[in-house]
Amino acid sequence: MKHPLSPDALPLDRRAVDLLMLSTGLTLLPHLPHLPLFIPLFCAVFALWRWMAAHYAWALPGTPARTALTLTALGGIALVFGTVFGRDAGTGLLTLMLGLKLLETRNYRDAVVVLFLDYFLGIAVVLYSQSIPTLVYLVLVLVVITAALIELNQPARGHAPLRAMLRRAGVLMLQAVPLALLLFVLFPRIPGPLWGLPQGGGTGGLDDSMSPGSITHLSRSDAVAFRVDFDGAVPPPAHLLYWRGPVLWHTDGRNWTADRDRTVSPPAAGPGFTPLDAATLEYTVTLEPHGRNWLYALDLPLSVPPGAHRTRDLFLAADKPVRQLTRYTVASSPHYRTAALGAAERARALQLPAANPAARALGAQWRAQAADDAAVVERALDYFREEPFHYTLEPPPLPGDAVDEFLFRTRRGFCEHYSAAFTLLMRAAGIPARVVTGYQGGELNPLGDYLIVRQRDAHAWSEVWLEGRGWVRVDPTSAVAPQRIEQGIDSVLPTAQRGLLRDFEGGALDALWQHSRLAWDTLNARWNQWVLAYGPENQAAVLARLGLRSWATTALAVLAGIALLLAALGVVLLSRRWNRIDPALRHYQRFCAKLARRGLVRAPAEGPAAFGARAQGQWPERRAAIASINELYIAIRYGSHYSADRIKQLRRAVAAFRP
Amino acid sequence: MHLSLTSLPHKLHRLLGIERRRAGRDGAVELGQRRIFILPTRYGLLFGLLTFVMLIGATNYNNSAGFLLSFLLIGTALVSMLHAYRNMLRLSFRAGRAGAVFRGETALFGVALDNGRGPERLGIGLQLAGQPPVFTDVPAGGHVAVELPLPAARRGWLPIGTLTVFTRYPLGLFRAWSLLRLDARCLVYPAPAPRLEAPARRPGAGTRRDRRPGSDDFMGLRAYHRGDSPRHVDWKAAARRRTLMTKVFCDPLGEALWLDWNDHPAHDTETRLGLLCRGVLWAEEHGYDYGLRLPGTLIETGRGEEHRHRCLKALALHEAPT
Repeated sequence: MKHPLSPDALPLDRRAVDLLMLSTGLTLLPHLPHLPLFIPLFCAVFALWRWMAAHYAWALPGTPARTALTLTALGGIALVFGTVFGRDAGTGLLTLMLGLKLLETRNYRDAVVVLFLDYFLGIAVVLYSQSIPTLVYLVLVLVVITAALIELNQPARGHAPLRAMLRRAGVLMLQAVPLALLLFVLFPRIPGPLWGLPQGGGTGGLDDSMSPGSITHLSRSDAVAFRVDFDGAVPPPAHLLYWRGPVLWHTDGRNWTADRDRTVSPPAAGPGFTPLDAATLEYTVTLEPHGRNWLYALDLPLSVPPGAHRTRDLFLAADKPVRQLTRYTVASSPHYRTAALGAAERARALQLPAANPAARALGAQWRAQAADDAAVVERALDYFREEPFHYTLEPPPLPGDAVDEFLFRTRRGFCEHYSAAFTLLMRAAGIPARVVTGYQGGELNPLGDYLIVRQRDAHAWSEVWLEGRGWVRVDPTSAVAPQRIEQGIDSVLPTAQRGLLRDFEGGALDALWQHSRLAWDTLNARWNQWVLAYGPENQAAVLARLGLRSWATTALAVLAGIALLLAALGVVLLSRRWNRIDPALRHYQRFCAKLARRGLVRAPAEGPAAFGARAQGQWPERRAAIASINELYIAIRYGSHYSADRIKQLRRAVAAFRP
Repeated sequence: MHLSLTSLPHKLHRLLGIERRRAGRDGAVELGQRRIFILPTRYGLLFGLLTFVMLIGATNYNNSAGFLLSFLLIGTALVSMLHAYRNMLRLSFRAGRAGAVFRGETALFGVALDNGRGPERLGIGLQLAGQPPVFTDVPAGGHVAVELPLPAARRGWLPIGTLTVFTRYPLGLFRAWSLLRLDARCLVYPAPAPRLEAPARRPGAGTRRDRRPGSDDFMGLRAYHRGDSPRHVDWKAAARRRTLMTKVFCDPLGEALWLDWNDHPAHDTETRLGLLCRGVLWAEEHGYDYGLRLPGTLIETGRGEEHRHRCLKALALHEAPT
């Protein structure tokens, strides 16, 4: 295998070993948070050992020791992960292999394998994060790895400064950017996954169940849930911004849960509602991965994006859990009437647990006193408005009958407390009611003209079924804290719980902070929109617009594009820089050309001094200018006075010269 | 994998019937566009496999950032192909003089790499058939000289053979190469015999008078003849070899020394040449005038570096195999 005459067997010098360590260290750094501790520990020991071998002539382990180490590592992986496949176990395994390879790295070939593993593990970081800072870091790591590869392939070179190596690698990768972009846009994407169910891809966000405190918990998170671009610049008024998520039907008096069948099965036929007018809201949502299959849309979604369906509860659900950034366009109808309520659904909407006797009694009392259902709803909202209820992020705990405790004792709660209590009261009064979860409001980013909806915008409200009107949205929170709906969650949060660093209320610093925060979010939104959400569906649209309708033409276009870009780069690399001559010589040649136009041609073997003397003889009145150009040129080219300053002087002198 | 990519170029050249170019009139060869060949190395193939696996992974996880970075690597690899090509393009090579060596020594062929006005070249490898490569860089607009060792296994003219110039710069994923046949050869003298051996006494040989054994410089041993002075018998050698040997001495003030092909009739050609070679070296070292008589060649007596070279060259090229 090892060819004695091949350069592959060239041994590594210390500097190459150092560069390998640097590349590997930088590659593994972003993996540290999700690797079991023993893996980076092993790698660090191996790297240290190799480093000591390079710098202090330590012995490297022999084959039996390495075999034992490899088996131990494999065993460790299998023990910790239960498998050696999949994202986490695969990353762990590759990391350990990299450490072991580092330990046995002796020559050029080993070093190349280490660097290739670095490339692979470096790119594997995107399985954990695709944010802009991560990508910037990874590109820098790729430049370092490439610099190490370049170092290996110029064996004659002594120790060129690291900066020069990095610059070479950077230039190389910069020249590759057009090719990368071409491939990114045109290279045919196949819808994944190809095997198994990918792990990861976001957690957090709303669940399809609710209990006291579950949404309060989300209100502490600044994380973006989704961003919305509206067709037409002005987003709709805040009271229409109800982003519909899972609908909860069943309660045990404390917890609310969805009917899992209903969330996944599409309605039998038709949309399940009729729009009352032609008004529609059209918008595109870029949804962060949340690991569940519902998609958020405004009440109520008229259109259904591809790969999704509208459930019987009138929210949108994707066919697969949302594990990567997803972008979809929806049209919603803000005014609607839902279809008739079936007997089974009515029974479900009236389901009441035995708990909370006081609340049920209150509901029954309102029923008896009110003329119709609408009056009961009004009565309940008045109750919340007039009794001393408080909207707070720190509700006291509710032992026992949660709703009774809340309604009659603590009276301090967040949206989930109000919607749960209201829905229970309605059911007690015999009105079909259900809890709807989702998000309400959002922050307008004026820089990018889009709406940012964050986790702390999570909300829960109720729907009651009224004869002749169908399901009607009622938000009991708005009775207690109307500004929550009209001005957003920030208006009701205590200062400390608003976004990070928002204590600089009102000052110039605050304005600056707000501006940069929104600018950063705009950048992220565009990144999401143009890069991360670019998948098979978006690509199909782009290719269609480019007129590439079949695989064959697309493949041809990719190849032609690569050839074209390479040819263009080739022309630049092989010709322009080829003829890059000494700038001093170039300026002097211009000087000679000026003289030649006036009839004084420099002889092929004539030196600058002799030619200068001849020119001075012909134009005695220009003697000084000619002498100064000559002196400068000779000093720059033949003396040790090469400086950018002098070249500039020469350029000016030649430009000003008029024979 | 025995068919390594290193040997592939040669096979490919033969297959394509591409003649290895000879040097131009001035002895310099410039690498033009049509002389440079480029193929992925096995690392290049491995890199291709690696990026393919990356793309599969990116597809499986529908990971756009993964696609972006994988494509960046693929693009870098493609660009590196251009750089490898550029690293060789219009670099010119000229073989210098290779100083004569004795058989069994290593000839050093000087090769000058001239950059013209080109950019800096890095990691240029030069490899003679069967030899390990020698690497060099060439500064921008400058030139550099390297020495390529080649073992001299036979006397006579040793041609430089086919010179493979190649580069794997910048990333080692592609190897650009060209095969050159430069005009350079090295004269290989015969290997000098380990010891001087005095000429056998041949009765009636007219030349004997030219060499008068004196008593100053030890010249060598010859078989004992009756009448030799017992003082000159090498008794130690006699004990070893069980035959009597006589020490022969020369007188530096004496007349010229003739080294004659017929002095050593008992040996084969190469041994005779080796003995004569040793004789030339000895005579030169000890300040004798000496001449050389070979079948068909006669070099008059003389002395000095040039004379020594004339004699050794005659020995080197005597019935030379090439």
